[in-house]
Amino acid sequence: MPLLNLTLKVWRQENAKSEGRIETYEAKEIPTSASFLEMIDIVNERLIQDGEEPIHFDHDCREGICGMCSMTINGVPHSKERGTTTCQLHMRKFDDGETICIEPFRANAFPVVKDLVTNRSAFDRIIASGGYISVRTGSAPDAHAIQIPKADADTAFDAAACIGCGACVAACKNASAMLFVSAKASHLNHLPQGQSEKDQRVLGMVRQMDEEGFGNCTNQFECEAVCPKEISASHIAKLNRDYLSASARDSVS
Amino acid sequence: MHPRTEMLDLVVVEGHAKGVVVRNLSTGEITTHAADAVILATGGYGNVFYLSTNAMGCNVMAAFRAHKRGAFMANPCYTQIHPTCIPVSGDYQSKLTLMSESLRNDGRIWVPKSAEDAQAIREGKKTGADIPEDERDYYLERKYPSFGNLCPRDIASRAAKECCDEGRGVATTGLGVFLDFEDAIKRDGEDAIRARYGNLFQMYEKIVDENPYKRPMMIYPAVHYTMGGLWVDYNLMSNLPGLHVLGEANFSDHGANRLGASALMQGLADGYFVIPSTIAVYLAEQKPGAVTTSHPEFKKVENEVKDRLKSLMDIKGTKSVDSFHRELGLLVWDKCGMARDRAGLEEALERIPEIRHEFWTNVRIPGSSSGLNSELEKAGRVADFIEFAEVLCHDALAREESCGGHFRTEHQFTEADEEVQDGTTQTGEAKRHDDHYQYVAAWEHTEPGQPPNLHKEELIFEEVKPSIRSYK
Repeated sequence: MPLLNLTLKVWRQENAKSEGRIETYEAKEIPTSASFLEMIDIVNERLIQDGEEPIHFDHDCREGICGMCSMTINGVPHSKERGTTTCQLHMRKFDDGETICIEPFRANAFPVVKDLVTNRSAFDRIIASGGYISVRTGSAPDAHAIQIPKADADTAFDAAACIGCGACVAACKNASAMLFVSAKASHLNHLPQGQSEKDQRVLGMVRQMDEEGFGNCTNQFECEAVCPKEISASHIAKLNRDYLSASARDSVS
Repeated sequence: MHPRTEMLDLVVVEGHAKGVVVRNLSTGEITTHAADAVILATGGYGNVFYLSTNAMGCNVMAAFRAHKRGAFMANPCYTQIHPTCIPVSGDYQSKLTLMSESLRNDGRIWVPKSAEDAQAIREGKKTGADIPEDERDYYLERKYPSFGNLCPRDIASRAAKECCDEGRGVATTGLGVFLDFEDAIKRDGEDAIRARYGNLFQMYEKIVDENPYKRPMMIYPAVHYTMGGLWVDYNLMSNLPGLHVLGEANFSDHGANRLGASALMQGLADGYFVIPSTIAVYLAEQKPGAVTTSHPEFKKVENEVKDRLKSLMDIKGTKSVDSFHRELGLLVWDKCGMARDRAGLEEALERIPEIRHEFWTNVRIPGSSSGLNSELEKAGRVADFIEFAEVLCHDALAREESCGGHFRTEHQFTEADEEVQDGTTQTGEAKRHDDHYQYVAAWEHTEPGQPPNLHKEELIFEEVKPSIRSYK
């Protein structure tokens, strides 16, 4: 199997308060079939052997569905590969001798916890302000009790594919969270079960988003370009429409 | 919400589960939390095998801490090995990826009939396409004509292992079989297959760098789900009053072999429909807020947790946490994986205490216990996996039968069996011994390093009687 020798330029930062710096590491004899995170595992194993602290990074499912991995690779969140999370990126996409720059997702609302790990709890708080449907627990309703047109179900499903990784924020020059918020709102707003709480949902989520310090959307579409789930920016337009009508109703109620 | 917070122990007050001790993973702060009851929904123990389809963070710690505080661990030997995963590619591998079971609807599973052809494929001298139709062994269709490629997970997994053990595996490591869509594409067209499985094919191509529309996929079984877990009653309460266990963390619902999609069903049923009603049975007898963290037991357990973290940090050995996890995982996979036998399990039970000893004297955890320290987090989990692995192997050793996710090579049908002669089943199939083993094995923790105590919950079948499975 072909092996790569690479140079890594990695952001190291002890904690949220300390100053960060770029450190250089050699990543030697990396199999091309290893994933990007496995490449860092190999480097970390050697760092531990040398008595150093390993590079901290977020990861969990390692198959592109949990939204934990969050690295900016050569300036692009999750790398320049389209529709790919960092954990789904494989080393065969790199050339022998290449230098790779690895940084955390950058945004004021995502403070660095350590090295490449950022605190993305702001997203949790946005979800808690409306990204849900209130249902009682109890016996399950029949699956066909509420009928949903296929087109609506498909659009809602496309929006629901958002894994909440925050690449959209990291890619945006304004650090706007509009693609995330719009995907989460659009998912529920397209479904009949989401209608009764629609206004409070969009008002609550947008207010929380502003409070967390995310910037505004200026239609650059960087978010759509880096989204590992290829979520369309058209959801942002839908959120804007829903927000406008909710605000209007809110102002007269 | 407490994101990045890990439960490190359970607080038991006068025999009742009344709280937890947790560590804030970002700051390292240890806090205690009291409650009227405790619910664990902390998932399964599949990562004891190191490589599995579980997420990297999945671990047995919360369940095992509860086990050490008195909760019984039931049927841990029932582990599900899923047949359709992407094969291992190298020793750097950190996890295995599941290709959905649905692929078996249209894909045909095969290996070459001859070991020579398989070797040529492994060495890259031939591809699957070079093997003519009559030189292919569609072994599931051959052995199980009426169920074919859709036979149950444990059977499909073991059949793949058998082919690879015979030297007919096709991946570079020798551990892989083909899942071929050629016929389905010919029949329904590439677009129809793309509409059905497009996302899975894309995922496969990203990982393996081969186009599954053009070349057959390669798959191999991998650890996927653990049917065993903490023992619970019908109200989802463990034998430790107040401790409720939901989802994969408990042992209920799936018996010895989980069927497709039922893990989601269990999560929804336990969380939405069962526990909101049944927890009231326990709460009705409790005075709300009667126990607070001012109870001395909280301070005691908190100090034990802190001492344990300190002991881990103080070892300052030479080997990484991952190296221990890999070693343990490989051992458990070899001796207590798809096929188990007495000699192998006894060997594992000798080896695991040695690994445990070496871990506690030679693990290296850089950094400090304050602040984020992923090595310290993993160390605590691996320490528990090592102890848990012993319970797992004890259970597998004690269950002298084959049943669902537990296959003991000593207990399989042979030519000598009446059921084989009369055609009910065939040689090599799992052989249960219902007369002796029709029970839930619930293990009680004893002393560190000592074997657990077995409690038996007899299974009584009134309406449906267990019979011999046949997929011929």
